[in-house]
Amino acid sequence: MSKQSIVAEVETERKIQLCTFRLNNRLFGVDIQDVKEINTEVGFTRIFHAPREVRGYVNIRGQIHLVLDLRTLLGFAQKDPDHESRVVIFKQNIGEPFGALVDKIGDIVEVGSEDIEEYGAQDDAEAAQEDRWKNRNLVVGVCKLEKDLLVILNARSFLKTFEQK
Amino acid sequence: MMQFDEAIVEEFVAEAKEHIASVEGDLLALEKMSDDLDQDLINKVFRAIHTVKGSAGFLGFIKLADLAHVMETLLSLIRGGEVRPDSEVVDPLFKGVDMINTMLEDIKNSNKIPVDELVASIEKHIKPVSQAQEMVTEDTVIKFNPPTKEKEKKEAATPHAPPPVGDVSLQALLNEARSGGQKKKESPVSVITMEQGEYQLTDMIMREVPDSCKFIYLLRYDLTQLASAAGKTPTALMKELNEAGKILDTNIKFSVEDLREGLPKKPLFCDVVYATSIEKDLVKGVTGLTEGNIVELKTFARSAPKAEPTVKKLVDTQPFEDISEMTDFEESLQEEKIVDQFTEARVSPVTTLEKAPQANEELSRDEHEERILGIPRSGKDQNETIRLNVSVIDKLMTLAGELVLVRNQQIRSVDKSDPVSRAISQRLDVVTTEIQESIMATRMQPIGNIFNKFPRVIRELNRQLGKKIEVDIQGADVELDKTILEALADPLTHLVRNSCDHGIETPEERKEKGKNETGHIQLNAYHEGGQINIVIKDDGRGVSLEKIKQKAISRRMKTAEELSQMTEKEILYLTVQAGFSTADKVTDMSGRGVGLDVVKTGVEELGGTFDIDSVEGQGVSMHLRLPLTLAIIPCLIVQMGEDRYAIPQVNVEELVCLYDEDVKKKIEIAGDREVYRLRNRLLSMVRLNKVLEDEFRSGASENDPIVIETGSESARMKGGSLNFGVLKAGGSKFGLIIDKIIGTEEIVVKPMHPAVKDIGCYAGATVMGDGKVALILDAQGIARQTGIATEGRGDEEIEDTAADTESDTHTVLLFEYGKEEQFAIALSLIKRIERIALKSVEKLGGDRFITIDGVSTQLITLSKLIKVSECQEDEEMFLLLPKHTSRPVGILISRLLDTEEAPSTLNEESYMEDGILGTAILRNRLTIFPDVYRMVDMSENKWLLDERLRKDSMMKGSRLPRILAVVEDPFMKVLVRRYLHSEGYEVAGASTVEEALARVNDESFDALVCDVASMGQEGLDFIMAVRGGGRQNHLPALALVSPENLEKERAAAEGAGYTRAEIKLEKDEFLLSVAELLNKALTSQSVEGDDNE
Repeated sequence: MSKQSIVAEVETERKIQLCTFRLNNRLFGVDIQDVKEINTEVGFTRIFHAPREVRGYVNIRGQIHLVLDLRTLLGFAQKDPDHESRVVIFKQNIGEPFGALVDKIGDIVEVGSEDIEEYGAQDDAEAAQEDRWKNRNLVVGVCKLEKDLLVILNARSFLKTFEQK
Repeated sequence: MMQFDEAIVEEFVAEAKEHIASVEGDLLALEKMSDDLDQDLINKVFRAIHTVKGSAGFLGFIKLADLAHVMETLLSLIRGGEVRPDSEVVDPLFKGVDMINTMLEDIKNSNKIPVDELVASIEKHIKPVSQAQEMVTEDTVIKFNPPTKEKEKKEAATPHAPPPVGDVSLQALLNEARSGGQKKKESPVSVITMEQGEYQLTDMIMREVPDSCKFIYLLRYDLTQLASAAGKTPTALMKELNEAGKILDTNIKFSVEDLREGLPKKPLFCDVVYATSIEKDLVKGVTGLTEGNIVELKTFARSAPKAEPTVKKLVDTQPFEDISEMTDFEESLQEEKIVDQFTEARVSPVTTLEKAPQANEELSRDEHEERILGIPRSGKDQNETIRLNVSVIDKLMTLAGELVLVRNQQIRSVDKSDPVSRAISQRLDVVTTEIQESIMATRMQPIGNIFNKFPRVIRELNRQLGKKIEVDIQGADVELDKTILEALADPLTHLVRNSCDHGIETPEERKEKGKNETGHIQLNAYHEGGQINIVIKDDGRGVSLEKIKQKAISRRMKTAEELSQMTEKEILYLTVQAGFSTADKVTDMSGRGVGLDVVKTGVEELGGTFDIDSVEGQGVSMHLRLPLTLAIIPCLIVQMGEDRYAIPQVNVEELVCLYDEDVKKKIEIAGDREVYRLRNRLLSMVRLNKVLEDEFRSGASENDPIVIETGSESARMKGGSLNFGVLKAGGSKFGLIIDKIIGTEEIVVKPMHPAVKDIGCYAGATVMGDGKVALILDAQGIARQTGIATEGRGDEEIEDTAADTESDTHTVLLFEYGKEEQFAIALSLIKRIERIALKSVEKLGGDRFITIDGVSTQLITLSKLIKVSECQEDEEMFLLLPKHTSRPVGILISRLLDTEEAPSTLNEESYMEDGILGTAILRNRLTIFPDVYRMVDMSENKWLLDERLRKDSMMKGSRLPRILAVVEDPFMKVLVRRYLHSEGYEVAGASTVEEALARVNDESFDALVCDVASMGQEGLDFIMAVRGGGRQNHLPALALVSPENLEKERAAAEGAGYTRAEIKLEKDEFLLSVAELLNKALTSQSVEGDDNE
């Protein structure tokens, strides 16, 4: 879903709910409409020769899901799952069964469409990343919360990112 | 253009296809029984075509209806016995069936397909009979004759005012038409007088009349008006009519011109023959037609129902009990069958409700309404089938698979000490298994779906090729997974065509050979060992091995020499190798094998195997083995590090476990990869962890040095053992080294996620019993990734070219002759082993002979030559054929035990006699190593050696003559050495030319012996090097050559500089030659010496 469509949606509905999570201590969020469930299962089956972003397979109630490492996808360093790690499973309409491994799950945040701003780099290190994110259509926009800056991601672009590689 | 509900059209197409599919086979059967017709069968065909016609007519597929109509007419003639269904008549019917199929494929455009020619060709068979009918009163009725010309004219003349005006009554119209020219004789079957028009009610139609109906009407609708005024589609009309009765027949009238401008705005008349229990007055109300458009064709004199307003009631109260009132009806029907059916009806009206003859399956979609209304339907179709979208079944399949997994997890976690939960768990187990099986069964389809096409295919081929071939089908009801079945259709057709084209001879040819003129192709399907077996067998000319050989040579696939070493079976298998027959498809080659590799690959992709067998002159038999389903497959579960992997059982040939020393010793390095010598074949080894962890070899640039992993280094060598599976993938075989073998399990295959499906080494994924995901390895993919597949066969034969020169063991065949002793013969000396029947052995003098490969072969009986126990000879024995013998001999053995590694050094003390090389302890038994070549000599009884000559040579030298034996093959080396030793020579051995040359340079010898037969050019180079210079350039040299190419090799050897050449392992000649050579050398030396002095 491109930014325009989300924004358009937001304009009509005025509010959008986001499922937030942390990666590398930063707050990210995806449209909660795209999320099927949050799972604690982090015992993955490695798939050798798969792209770096692929963490492996996990079985969730009989259905095999591909798990992406969102840290790698966004250009952060990889980190082994710990007790706070969760897998965000996306709905079937986002793509073939898959989920994304995140460091820690956050709250559900409701934001208004007018609060979503275009993403801009905060420092030089991020400037490089910014291109990466933008090019791949990963980021929809940012939203300033009270304490944090929330980066809104587009779940639909996750699989595409490395399928094209 | 009339608009039809898409869904209804689709349904019509699906149903029509089903009908047509059955027609084909039935027509074939009819053709066969041409004289003694099976009425049921022809009725079945008739009904199928009739149904198609009816539905097509209603839906406006006019051409289709036209075609079906003439076919139906012809069929009715056949049924009546007027026309014999010989091939001339059946042919156009087949064409009609094909055409209907074509039309159904693209139903929307079916009206654009020209059918006139075809219709005419069918009518050709109808016309003569129809004319004849005018002369003779026949018990046949042509139903719904196409409108006569007069009638058409009349219709054309009729002003195209909206029809139901009543001023031009149909009855009048029809009467006029009849009197105008209709001369058709009344049929006695048809009790309807002609007053009702030219419509004759055939018994066919009568049979379809439900018992509940008392009236048959002819209704004339104007479809155009119906659509515009009432907004009713013909389908809706059909439905409506069927609610209160039954449509027996329909006929739409229009002229051809109308169609070109699209469907008419003008009135489009549709006549409906309608059976109902409603009286005429009410019919007017129900149908909305005017009086003139309703003609009563027939009233059954049954007890009239009370005039009830609702149709439902009418039907419910339908009285059957009054027998006497049925009589009229019964009398009116002269056809026995009908009488039977109605008799039945009287006896048991209730069952008749179920059995009521009603073939018009077009109504099946209205089943529901009919049930409510209580209108009887034939029991035949009830509840038998239900049409489902495959995706629904696939979904169920997935869920069933998941249920199996849940079950597995549940069984694991259940508290076995609690009887209640244990019982529940067991029941869950049973139910789950059953659900799984049932759902699997829904995907199953009989192989008859494919098989039943073949009679037709073969019939066509018979005509094209002028052959007489019959097909014999067995096991058509064996069921296979839909996916497999679909993938199998083409390969099977290919094989059958192949058999017809090239396998079966022409009738003349067959006659000459004394075969039955009619060739037979047998198709057989059966279950065996959890697999589906399909055998296609013909009794044709079989495959000519000679032609395969020629082809193989001309295609440079094999050399003549290679071919001579191959068994018949191996030669036959060349036909299924890719590229065996490509460009000049069906040429001089007996034709078999065209594209067989494609078939083989196809079958293997389905996880099956393909086998071919042929007896020249007697036919070919092809054997396909296929798994029942693709969704659940048995797999070998292995562990590598922390991960488990599944390997499909079909890929696993065997499992090997090496212990201790073997781990280090048996895995060798050849070129850039590890190999293992498995029963004398080199097997490329692949380490799974390397496959998974390393980058794939992406060309030659990869400089990944092979690391010889030793037992101490690697975790997978823990406990000093190493496991590997021998996997076969396509044409190649390789060993896959894994950590641990867990066991076998039936797993549910799930495809790889699209994002990772491009990785070559996985075939899918599965969920294991503990809920963890395991990946399924793709043997073919791994072979490709590691480069084995591109190297060709991974298991190159290493016969005679053993790479390790220092090996001190060799592989022997263990066998028994008598009960007591165990024998061993080196595998490298054995050409092959043949199973023989003792009764085909002939006696000649004191010797026994048997014909093998067309050559009379002498049997060697061990107990006659050496002191071993006698053998109780069975009917069936084995014959061991040694290599390199001067004449064909075979050693008779009673039991084959196994192959075993044996030391090259044998014990020569404990038990020795002439004809024995020595003994060794193998498998805890004293094993005798017979000297095959000595035995050949002994059995020949010409063991007359010139002892004197040998002794002479011995005496002349003050020291023992020293001979250098250059022999590559380790076993051969031992043998040569032993022979020479036995003569008292001192022997030095060399395995390579380099080594030999070094020794020639450094040491002194009296003679050289070189095994040119197996060393080839190297052997020749060696002698040239020796002769080329050095102090021993004049040494006498003996070349050992093979008996097969004696003259050629001898010439080459002598040309290169050998003094002499003798047949390899012809012990006496060999020793004699050595003696002579030494003698000569000594003499000349002494002469030279004399000269010098």
